[in-house]
Amino acid sequence: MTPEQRSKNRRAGLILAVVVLLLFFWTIGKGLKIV
Amino acid sequence: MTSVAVGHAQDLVHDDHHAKPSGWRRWLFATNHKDIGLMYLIFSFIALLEGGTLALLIRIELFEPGVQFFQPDLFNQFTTMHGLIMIFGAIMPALVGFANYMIPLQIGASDMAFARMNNFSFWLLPVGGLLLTASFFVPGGATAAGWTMYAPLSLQMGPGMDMAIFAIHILGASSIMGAINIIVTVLNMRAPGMTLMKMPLFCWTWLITAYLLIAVMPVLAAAVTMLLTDRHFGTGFFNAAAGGDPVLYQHVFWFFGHPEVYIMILPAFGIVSAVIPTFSRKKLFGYASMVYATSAIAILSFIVWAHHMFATGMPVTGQLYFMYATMLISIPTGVKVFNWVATMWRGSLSFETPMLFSIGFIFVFTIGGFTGLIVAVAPIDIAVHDTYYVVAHFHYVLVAGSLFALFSGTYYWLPKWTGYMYDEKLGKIHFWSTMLSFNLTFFPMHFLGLAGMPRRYVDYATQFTDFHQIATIGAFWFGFSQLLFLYIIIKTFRGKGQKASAQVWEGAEGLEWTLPSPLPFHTFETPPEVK
Repeated sequence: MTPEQRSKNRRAGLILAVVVLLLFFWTIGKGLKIV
Repeated sequence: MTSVAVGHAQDLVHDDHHAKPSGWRRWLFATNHKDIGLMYLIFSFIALLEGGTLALLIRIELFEPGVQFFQPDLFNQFTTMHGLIMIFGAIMPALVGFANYMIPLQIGASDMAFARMNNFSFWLLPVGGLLLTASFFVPGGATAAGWTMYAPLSLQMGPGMDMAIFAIHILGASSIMGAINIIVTVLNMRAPGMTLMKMPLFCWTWLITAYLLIAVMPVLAAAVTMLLTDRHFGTGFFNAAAGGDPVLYQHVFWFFGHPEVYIMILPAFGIVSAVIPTFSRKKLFGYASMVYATSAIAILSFIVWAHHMFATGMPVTGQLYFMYATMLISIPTGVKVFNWVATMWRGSLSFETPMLFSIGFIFVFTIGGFTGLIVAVAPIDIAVHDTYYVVAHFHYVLVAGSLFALFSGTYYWLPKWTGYMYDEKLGKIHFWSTMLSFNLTFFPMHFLGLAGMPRRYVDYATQFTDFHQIATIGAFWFGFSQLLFLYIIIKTFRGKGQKASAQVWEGAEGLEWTLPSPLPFHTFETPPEVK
């Protein structure tokens, strides 16, 4: 794997990880709003 | 040709080839996708045996009406843990195992994008699995709230419930990391020339599944976290007495739960789409429509969740919407079934074990699909909700669907993995034994459900006895048939069989068949050229 490819992979991975965290907190936030 | 030159240039930069590690370090510190894939498959088979044992305990109790062996609470622990272990321990890890093993080979990558994270994803599994299993031995035993862990029941359980919540966090984290790995691998690591629309369908189905995982596993994690804070930290999300709403839990859970169903079936579709063309000696019929159908199923899976909740008392307009939206899913699914049959049409068919399991899949999964349509009809669902009809339906989809496809894929790629052919005669016996016993177990459950037998009950009225006894006999036959599968696998891994060629199957197409059997430890270090 080239360094360029590695950093490209990391960037994509980080974006997906942020999406995961957003969804997690969004769900709990939504729950808080509803109850 | 430019792309090939790029490939070689990359190889020159990459000079840190590791030798094949040996001993326990090879497995504990594994970063090789084949080793990790194999560990996933072994783990999932152990979980299958554990979940299967629980199933047999359930079935033996139900052989006769009355309470014979287990107290009702323990029985409920069995049904709950059977579901959790089979879903999070057996089916999902097995599919991820296939993804790890096969995706890099099918797209011409040297490994997964994040090899160390891959190791972590795997090693979280035994931790989660042990936590779940150990919860049987804490005061109050394992959670008995059903695999769906509906509030408020799940708010009232003992520490076994907390262990299940924590186990789901861990297994969910593992799935999320696995999904990120798969998406990045497929998007960034394809060999030059391997465009998305040239990928084998298994890679496509897994790419879409990985997106589903990313979207819904955090939602499940949030749902069980809210359960946890309701249980211990004074919140009242799902507690009506504290101003919360138990039905909210069902909404959040099924927003995860319905896509989860497709997480367990889409990669199975991918395996079947690899096997059927090989043994039909034809290209897959309607490749592009298969990709679009898979995407359509994935998108629709997000807008149908409340069909699991028709009995909660939603407005009729809500019922109508969820009913019609659910029925829409049968269109892309029908496209898929049509394409598999059309692939076989006028093909030069042969019926080796992988093909038998794939054809078996089409027949029996389709029955599960049809009963799915029946329970999608809101007024019917209100009658059969929480009965054995539903149990029959989802076992037709998950056992004859996912598990049959997993068997098919195992027999299909086993010679590639081990370098030896499995025992074809025993494989065929395994198929027929599994197929017959599966139907013996689950077909009578349709009748039980229609007659009003509720699910998750330790006892039943005597008129249900006959069908329960048939189901129990079938279940034991089914369970012991899987020991034959284990025997066949071990025999093949030990090299007792004909040597396999690189091509293995006459009609097989794809990059993995260009590699020798057994696969070398490192593959595609120089990306292949894909025309």
